Amino acid sequence: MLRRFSFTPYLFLIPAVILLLILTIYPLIFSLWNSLHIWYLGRPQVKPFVGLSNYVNLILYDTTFRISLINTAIIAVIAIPIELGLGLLLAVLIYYERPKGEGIFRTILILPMLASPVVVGVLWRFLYHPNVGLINYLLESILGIGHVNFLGDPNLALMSVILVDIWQWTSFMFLIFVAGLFSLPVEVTEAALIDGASGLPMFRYVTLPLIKPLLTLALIFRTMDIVKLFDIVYVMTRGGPGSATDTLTLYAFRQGLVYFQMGTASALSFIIAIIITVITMIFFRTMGRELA
Amino acid sequence: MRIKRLLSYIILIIASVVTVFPLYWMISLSFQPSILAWSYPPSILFMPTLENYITVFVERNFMPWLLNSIIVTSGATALSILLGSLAAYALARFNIKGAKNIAMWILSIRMFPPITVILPLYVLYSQWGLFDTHIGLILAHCILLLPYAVWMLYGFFREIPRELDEAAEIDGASKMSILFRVIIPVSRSGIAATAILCAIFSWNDFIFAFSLTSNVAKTLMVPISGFLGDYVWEWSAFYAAGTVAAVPMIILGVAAQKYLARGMTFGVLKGS
Repeated sequence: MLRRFSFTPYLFLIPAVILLLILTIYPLIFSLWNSLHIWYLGRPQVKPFVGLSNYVNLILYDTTFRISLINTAIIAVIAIPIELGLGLLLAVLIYYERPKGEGIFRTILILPMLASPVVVGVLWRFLYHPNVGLINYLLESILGIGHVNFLGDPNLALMSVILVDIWQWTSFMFLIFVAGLFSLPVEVTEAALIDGASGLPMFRYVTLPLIKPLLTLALIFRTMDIVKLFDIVYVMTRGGPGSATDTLTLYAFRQGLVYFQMGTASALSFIIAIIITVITMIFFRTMGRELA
Repeated sequence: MRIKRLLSYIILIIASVVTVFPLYWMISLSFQPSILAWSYPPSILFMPTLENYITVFVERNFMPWLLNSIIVTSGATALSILLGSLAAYALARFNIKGAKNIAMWILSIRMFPPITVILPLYVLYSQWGLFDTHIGLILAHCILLLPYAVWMLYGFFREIPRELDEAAEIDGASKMSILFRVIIPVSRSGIAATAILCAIFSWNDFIFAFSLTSNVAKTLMVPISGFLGDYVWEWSAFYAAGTVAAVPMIILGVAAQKYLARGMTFGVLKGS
């Protein structure tokens, strides 16, 4: 049947597309243009074109950029594997053991990801407090060491932030893996049981291959989140002490909306975007290959 | 076998305690008399009181920020669901050229780092008169929410048998009335789940609110981010404000638990 071209379908699509064009594509082009200039918002009329030198300066000469890049990488490399491991362990325990109160465990273990990162950050800032925080109280009464300055000590601050990220986002991994495991076809596990598989080999050779695409997916999601990490770090340390907990987004935010150096900030934000784009491309390829 | 099971219970219980304890601590101390805020060792036995809620929302005037959060979250959620349903309907039911590319483009917006759009929007919003306005923040939140809304609803709409549309079409219904009279009513639990997910993202957002608003339209998260714990009054005030900021979304999220995984993965996981 030959169909007449109809404009109707596009009418449904247009509002969302136009809104997103105005709010993302146009600002991005504007920002790309800004990133090629020196533009101090304190004197917005002075805006000399400098080509790629904002990018070059950041990559070659800016130590804070380098520190925040390294910090972001450290957070990703430490936090994500732990979150993945813990989330998978808890999900697998519930899937295989079917404990009493399964539903309660499944509800409790997803709570942290629902809470606002700002609230979580302030809450942990208080728990970490060197003088009156609960954690120091517990350390003192159990181990006899007290007044640890978790967020104020440059050697501890980054690890303390990572610990909070793990506390909050293990729940995300758990959510994904539990949903994935419980949607596996029962027949596969049953067939493996009949063949005598159980315990670790069962997990290693039957379950794990089945949920491998989910592992990749969860890994990529969390990696992108860490590259964008801002809220809990800003709330807990403002990037300090010194630059000990600076992250890429935090530094871009400071350049742009605190120092008002819009040129540098825009260039930095595009470097972050490039990093994310590379991860996104990997994500789409994995989606296409393993989940289609 | 029995030892293994016992060990599983121990691990699960420890994990649950560690997970729930900080939240329990915040909520329970929000009812603690503020005099005890800096008591050391921390006091856990006290007569519950609402004084902290009064301190923070009345005396410290957090009420307007709470209202802003409610306005922005409702507005952004409603707008995203409306525009999202229209777009998802088009993607699910019409043969649009390049539909897949459009869907992927919308998805990729969610992947983009917020700071990359926030910096130019900060300048553009001042020119457009949207800086520090509710509508400005609502629109900005749509960048966060629309991709989720479109993808989740697209998934739900595709599950509805086409015979329903065709029956309505034979009865002479227009495309628009099919969407509002057939598709949306049939998928209302899916729409509710999508709305809950959108509300959680909008309510919990900090970086957009912090960057694009100032004294008029800022949401609850902005003043909460200012609690540094240096003054005694902040402690109990934070516990109360933090409870109000966290508990509603936790309750909504638990209510939509069945759909959470599906939403968070843009429909890859069908959930259990």
